[in-house]
Amino acid sequence: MRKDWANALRVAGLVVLLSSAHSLRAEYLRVELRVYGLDCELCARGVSESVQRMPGVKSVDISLKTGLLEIVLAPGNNFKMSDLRKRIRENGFRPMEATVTARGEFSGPKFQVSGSNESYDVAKSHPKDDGPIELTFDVR
Amino acid sequence: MRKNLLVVGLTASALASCARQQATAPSAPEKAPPVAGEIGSRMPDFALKGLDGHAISSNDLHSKVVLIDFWATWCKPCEKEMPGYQRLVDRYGPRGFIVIGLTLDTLKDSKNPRAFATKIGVRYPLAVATDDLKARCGGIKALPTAMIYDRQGILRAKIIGFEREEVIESAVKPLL
Repeated sequence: MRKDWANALRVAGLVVLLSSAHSLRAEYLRVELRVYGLDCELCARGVSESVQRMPGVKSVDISLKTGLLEIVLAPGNNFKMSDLRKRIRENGFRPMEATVTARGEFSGPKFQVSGSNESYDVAKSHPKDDGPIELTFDVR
Repeated sequence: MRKNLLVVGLTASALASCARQQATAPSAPEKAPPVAGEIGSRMPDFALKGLDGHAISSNDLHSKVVLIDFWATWCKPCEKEMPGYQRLVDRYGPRGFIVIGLTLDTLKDSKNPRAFATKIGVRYPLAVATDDLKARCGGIKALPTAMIYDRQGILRAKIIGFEREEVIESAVKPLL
């Protein structure tokens, strides 16, 4: 009987551990990506819809005037910048520079976005204390 | 006697009110048919002259799974997507899958649409989308727009913007 309880506790502990790991998934929060060659309104709306279907994307706004794609991500997403750039190329356009807001932590000089394998050389001084922070930075 | 009459009167009045209520009781609300271009709506009837001169008619599409793709030569995502449609036609055409490409003439084509399509390997039927047909498809507000109809001519999927071939395939395959 005691053994059963111990097993149940162990399973519960594992569930808590897994769910907390899940909550640490990629923490991209916002992305502003310049898209080269976006000069047709109907196509721009198509690109917007195409990006909107990507997992983790909450909303997409696109400006034909600036060629800027503004994306808001849902919490706990598994979004990757590399997937977004691929999506833009699939649409026949060229992804350019981006401004990214993400949660993550510094690992040496690199800013590692939580839960993703994507990290960036951020030209900003980074805090010494450990733990995730929210940061906005430019990506070329 | 007066009391009895009152009871009879009240009873009759109650029954009449009841009958009236029954007569006016709202019946189960009838579901409005889906608006044109929405999932569940019917494929509009059309008769067009194809870019190759052959007629394209909705009458010839009965019991087929049909993908209508709205595209244009100046639309880069369309150009990326169309060769995938041709591969799906090659794969599933024998099972009754048809693609019809309807080009938009809202902007002047700098390229000949037929030559353009041939160059990217497209062999399925093409025609110019009339304003009337666009309206009866619910209006085309973005390119590309793919509308997938089942064998009964009911719209089962509407995919706006570029989508990968395997995603389109997963929408078409269950309908075949």
